[in-house]
Amino acid sequence: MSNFLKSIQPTLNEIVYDLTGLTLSDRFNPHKKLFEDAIIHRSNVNVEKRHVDKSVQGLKEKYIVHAQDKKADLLEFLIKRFNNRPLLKHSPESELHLSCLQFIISLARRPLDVELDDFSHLVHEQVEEANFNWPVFLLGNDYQQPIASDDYQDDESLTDDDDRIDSTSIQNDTIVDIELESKPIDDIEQQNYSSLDREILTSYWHGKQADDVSPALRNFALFWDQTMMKTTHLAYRVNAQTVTEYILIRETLWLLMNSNELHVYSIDENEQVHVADFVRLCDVTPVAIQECLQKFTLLSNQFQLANRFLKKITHSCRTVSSFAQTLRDQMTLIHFQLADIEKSVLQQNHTYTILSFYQQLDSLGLISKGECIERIFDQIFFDVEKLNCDLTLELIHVLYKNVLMSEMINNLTFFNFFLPLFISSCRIYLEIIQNWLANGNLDDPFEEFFIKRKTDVSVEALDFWHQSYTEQVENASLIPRWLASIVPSLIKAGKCAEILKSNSVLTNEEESQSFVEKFSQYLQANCNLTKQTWTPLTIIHDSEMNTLVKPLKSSPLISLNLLFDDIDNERNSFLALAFNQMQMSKPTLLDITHQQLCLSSSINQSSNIECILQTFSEQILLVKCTQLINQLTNDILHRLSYLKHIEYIRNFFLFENGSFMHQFALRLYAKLSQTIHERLDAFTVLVSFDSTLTMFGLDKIQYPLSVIFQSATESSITQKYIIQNVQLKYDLPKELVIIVKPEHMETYQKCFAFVLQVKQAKYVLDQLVFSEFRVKNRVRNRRLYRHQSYQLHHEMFLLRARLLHAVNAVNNFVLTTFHTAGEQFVEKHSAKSIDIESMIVYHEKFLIALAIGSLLQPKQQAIREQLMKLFEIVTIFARRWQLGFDSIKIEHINKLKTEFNQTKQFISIVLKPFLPRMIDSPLRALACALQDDFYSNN
Amino acid sequence: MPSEIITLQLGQCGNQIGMEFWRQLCAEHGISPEGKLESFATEGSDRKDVFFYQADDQHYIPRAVLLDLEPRVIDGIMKSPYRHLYNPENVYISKDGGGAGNNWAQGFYQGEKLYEEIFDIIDREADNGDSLEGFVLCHSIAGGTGSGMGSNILEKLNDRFPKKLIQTYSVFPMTNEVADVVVQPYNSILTLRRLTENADCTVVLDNTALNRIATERLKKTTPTLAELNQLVSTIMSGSTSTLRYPGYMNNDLISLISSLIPTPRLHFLISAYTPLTSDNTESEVRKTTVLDVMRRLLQPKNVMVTTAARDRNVTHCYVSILNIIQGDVDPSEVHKSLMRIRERKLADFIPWGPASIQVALSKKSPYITTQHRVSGLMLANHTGISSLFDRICEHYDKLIKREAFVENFRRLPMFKDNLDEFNESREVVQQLMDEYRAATTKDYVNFGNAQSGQTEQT
Repeated sequence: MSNFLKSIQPTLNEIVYDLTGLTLSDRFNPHKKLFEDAIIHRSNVNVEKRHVDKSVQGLKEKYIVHAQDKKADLLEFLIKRFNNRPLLKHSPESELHLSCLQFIISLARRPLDVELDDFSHLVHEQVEEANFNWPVFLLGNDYQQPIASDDYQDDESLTDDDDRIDSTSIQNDTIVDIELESKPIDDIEQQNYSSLDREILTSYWHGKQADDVSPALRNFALFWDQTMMKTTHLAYRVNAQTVTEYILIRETLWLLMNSNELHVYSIDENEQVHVADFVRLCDVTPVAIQECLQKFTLLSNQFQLANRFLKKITHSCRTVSSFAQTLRDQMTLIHFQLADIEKSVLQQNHTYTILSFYQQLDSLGLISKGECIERIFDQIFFDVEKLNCDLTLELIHVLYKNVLMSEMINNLTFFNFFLPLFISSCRIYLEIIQNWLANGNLDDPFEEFFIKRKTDVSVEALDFWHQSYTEQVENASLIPRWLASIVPSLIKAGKCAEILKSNSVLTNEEESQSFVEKFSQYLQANCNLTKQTWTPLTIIHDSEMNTLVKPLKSSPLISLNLLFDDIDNERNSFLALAFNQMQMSKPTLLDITHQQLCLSSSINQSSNIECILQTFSEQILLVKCTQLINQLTNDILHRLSYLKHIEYIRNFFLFENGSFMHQFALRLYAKLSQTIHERLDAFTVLVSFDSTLTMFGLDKIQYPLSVIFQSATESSITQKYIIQNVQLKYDLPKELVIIVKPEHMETYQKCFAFVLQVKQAKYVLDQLVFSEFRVKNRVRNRRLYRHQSYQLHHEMFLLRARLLHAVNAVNNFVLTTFHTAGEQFVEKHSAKSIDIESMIVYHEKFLIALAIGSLLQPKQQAIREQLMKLFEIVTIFARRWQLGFDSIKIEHINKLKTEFNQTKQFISIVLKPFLPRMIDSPLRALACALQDDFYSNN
Repeated sequence: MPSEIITLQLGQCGNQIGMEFWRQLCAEHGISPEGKLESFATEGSDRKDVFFYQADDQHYIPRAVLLDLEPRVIDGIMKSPYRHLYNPENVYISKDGGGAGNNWAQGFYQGEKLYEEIFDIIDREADNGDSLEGFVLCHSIAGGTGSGMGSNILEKLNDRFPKKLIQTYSVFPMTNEVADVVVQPYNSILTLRRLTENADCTVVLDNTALNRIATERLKKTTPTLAELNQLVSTIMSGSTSTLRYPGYMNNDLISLISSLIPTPRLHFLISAYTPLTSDNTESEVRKTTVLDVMRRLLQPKNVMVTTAARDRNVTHCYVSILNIIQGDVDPSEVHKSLMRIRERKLADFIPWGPASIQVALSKKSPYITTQHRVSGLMLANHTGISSLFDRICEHYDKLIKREAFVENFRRLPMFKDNLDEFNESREVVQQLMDEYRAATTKDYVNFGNAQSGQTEQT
């Protein structure tokens, strides 16, 4: 560090002198040292241009807020000038450059460089006259010094107020002094600051060089006490925000001016100005000045950031609001603490010890808190352009990171500061999640949540499951890990909740505790955090809806009178003022703070925050998610009896229940075999179905199945004999559409149509028993085998056997495939871990298996066509058989035989690739089964 | 209700195996000996209505007709706990009670005489159902009533119900030792002719093989009749299990049978069952898989017909096989097992047609606990059955040469004038055996041609 110091010493000198206008010969040592230290100190801080600009802006606005427009202009002027310094432009230490800028800001925050030129001489004279003593009215045991409010031109409320302060014991010189002061201010206002004569300033310093610091500073103090204190509204509009700045500026001034005493004025509700306090300072040393100055300016700047943010939040986003509210609470707490510190450092009669103030400040961790605030605003850029969800995530991410960091470095102050902010930022997420899971409705009007509901996909929509919710984040890594790990479950559970809602079975039981409460409880239990009270979501929501930022109004902080223990004590009047209108009783609040500090010293290090959060998300969120998912699973499985319906579908569409469908199909087939040249008609189909129902003693109205006959529009001759156009209609509960979609039902329908055809082929062949050959006429029977036509019959028998073999193979293939798929499907559902998503997947797999089984896949079309051909051959063959053997000619048989051989050959060729495969597939089984010499040929 | 099957029990043997069959069915369906549904029988997936119907008081009544010419066996049934099970109207005992005297001709003649009465019962029973699928006939071919009256009823059934299936469970007599009944070969040949010409499907139960199996498998030195009947009832219940427990594939008798029988005459089926257990012996089979079961079913020692693998330079082979696998089976196992059977060449098939092992999966009764996960029944059409006929013919030829014991036959109208019936029957059986042998060769495709050529020569 010393080397570094040496190396930058010349530059440093230059900068300092350049800024202050002091030369090397000037022996303004304390200031020089102060500047240097500040520069060095700042140079170690990573300063970005953006932040400097921000700070400059912040400072400027601060001035404006304090009705110090001129100072703001001057600051800008100084900055501009500083930036224009050619010396620094190409300086290798560009960081230093920026650091200097930063420094100048903190410098400018003090009035040291400002507004001295014009009236400095006057002041000088007066100071000389006063022999560097404090003005009488400021020294005050004998003073009764009201400040004339008409001096103050900026504040209209005061200007209009004619009720002057009637203390007439103002000394003449004081009045003159005041008048003298007020005039230059006006002058300055009219002046162009760009033409500020630096020479005057310099000469002023020159003039003072021999007198060490104090006289000049005293003058400043005098000036400040007379102008700034009066003119800022701090003194009479004490509120949560201004009091901090007030204290800080005041302390800074004290220290800077090396003053011994300070007078505080306040204006009461009657606009009466009177002395609020009088403080005597002690133990003021240069070291204390330096150190404290740095701290205070820094702290002031940091608080400024927070206050600026709080004033400016225009985000219509609940998370940010919640964050802001907690930040505000924290700030209020800091204010209380500051006030408390002040009270405690005011020893004996108005004696103020700076060191103890500083120590107290440090011991309460206010400095650290300031750093925390700085960190937050360093890392988050509250950009209005940013999407809410991104901003929110970034906020949570940064806070979480900081919580982790503070835990890692074991900084309790940091930890205790960040944690509530973190919790409050997370709470909206948690509340959204809770609302979502409890009501099946993702209520996120500000789009801050990282999961979005696509509004154009309704619950009934077919692609609801896959399309409805999307994770919309620019950078998914920002989602905190403890939350990210359950996001899939969360989305799933959310969808489940919505489905349950639409099925109107979502048990909207009032949860005994909300997630937010649980969350904070969880953290409290593990981190000894004090209880946080939360404004319910709805309130925030409503207030956000009405006006975007009225946080103070909705916050009950300012509504109650303070029961301040010492309120009647005059000495505490300022504090009383500060604490006035605060919600919580001060002792309570402070107790909490101290207690918090004590308790948190014993922070449980065995479980770190990450674990705690992880456990929380697993034990609370995940459990709830699982609960919901299970609820839907149960709903589907039990209330909607999903498997029961699938069983029905299997029974009906896939013929798995032999009895009913078999009988129905038999009736159709029987009808078909009766009317050789006719097709099925709707009447036959309906009658067949009804009679089947009657046969099984089933009630037509209550039965879930019905049948439709679709009259064929185009009549294809090739499929003349093949049953078609019979459709089943199964009333599936519409809630199950999430799994079984209409197009799935179509697949089932196609499967049904296919099985119907396969079964028909089998049926007609099965019917060809040899009743002809066991006829009652035994004589004929005996002769049968000797008849010449027996060869023909034998051909028929063998062809029948071959056809049967082929049809049986197909029948086995189709039904076994269906059955296997169905059994696997049901077996999968008996697993405990089943949930809606896997149900959807299983059902889709099931359908794929069915599509293979019924040869619906595009690649299988060739086989399917040939099978149709086969069925046609079967039908024709059966017709011939039934028409009687006498009319059969050998040509007919040969033709059928040839066709059959061709068809079978074709199928065999198509299926051949399946044969050598080692994997068992249904098609391989079919290929094997179709082989004539399967068991004898290797 | 749908696809009803009427069981006809004829003669001593027929009624005894029928009795066992119903006992087994009642147990499988949870029906008490009184015909009441047991309280534990809550699974409604079975189809009791194929073999039972419900009386007015909801009692389950078997679709069974009990016929005998002498009262001994049926009286026994009527004294058993199952006496209330049957419909008393369906029990018919010849009034003279003399029996058929182990004479086919007597039985046939009695059948002719009692035709009206018997068919009153059968008709009533047939009209009782909505869609009668067929008849199952239980009888032996050696005795008098089962064979003679059975033959008569077969012919009559054919006339009356030409389109209905007729399946028989026919017990064939012991051929390797001295017969109980001397005219047994005559009875057998005469019945075989009817079975050939008038039945659609005959499940051959060879007493020789049943004895062997009972001895070897069940470790009985002298198996009792009841134990043999239990074996038969196992076969019978197994082969009807797909009808009674509707599965996804075979739901009626005809679909089971049709693929087994390629031509009208080749309808004699052999059967096998594994694993076989009896009440008081521990099973040797420890583990049952589909492959195990299928493999065992193909082993000759499990087959309930004693057939010769080779005779007269003919290598016998399977025409078709139907395996009914009962129990908890993964359908994918079936295909794997079939592949293995193919690799091991466990079954020889006919060279002239498609080789098929049909596999029907069936549920097990939930009310009967078995030690085994999977059990299997095979019904197969095997050309080796002809060797059984061959042995019968051998005995027959010896007897007829000497015209031994034909007097009893001559006394009855059918044989009064001549013994043509014997010769015709022998010829039919011979043709049957010829066709079975022909089916072992590739030339069977031209069987009709060769046949007609032969007949032209003769």
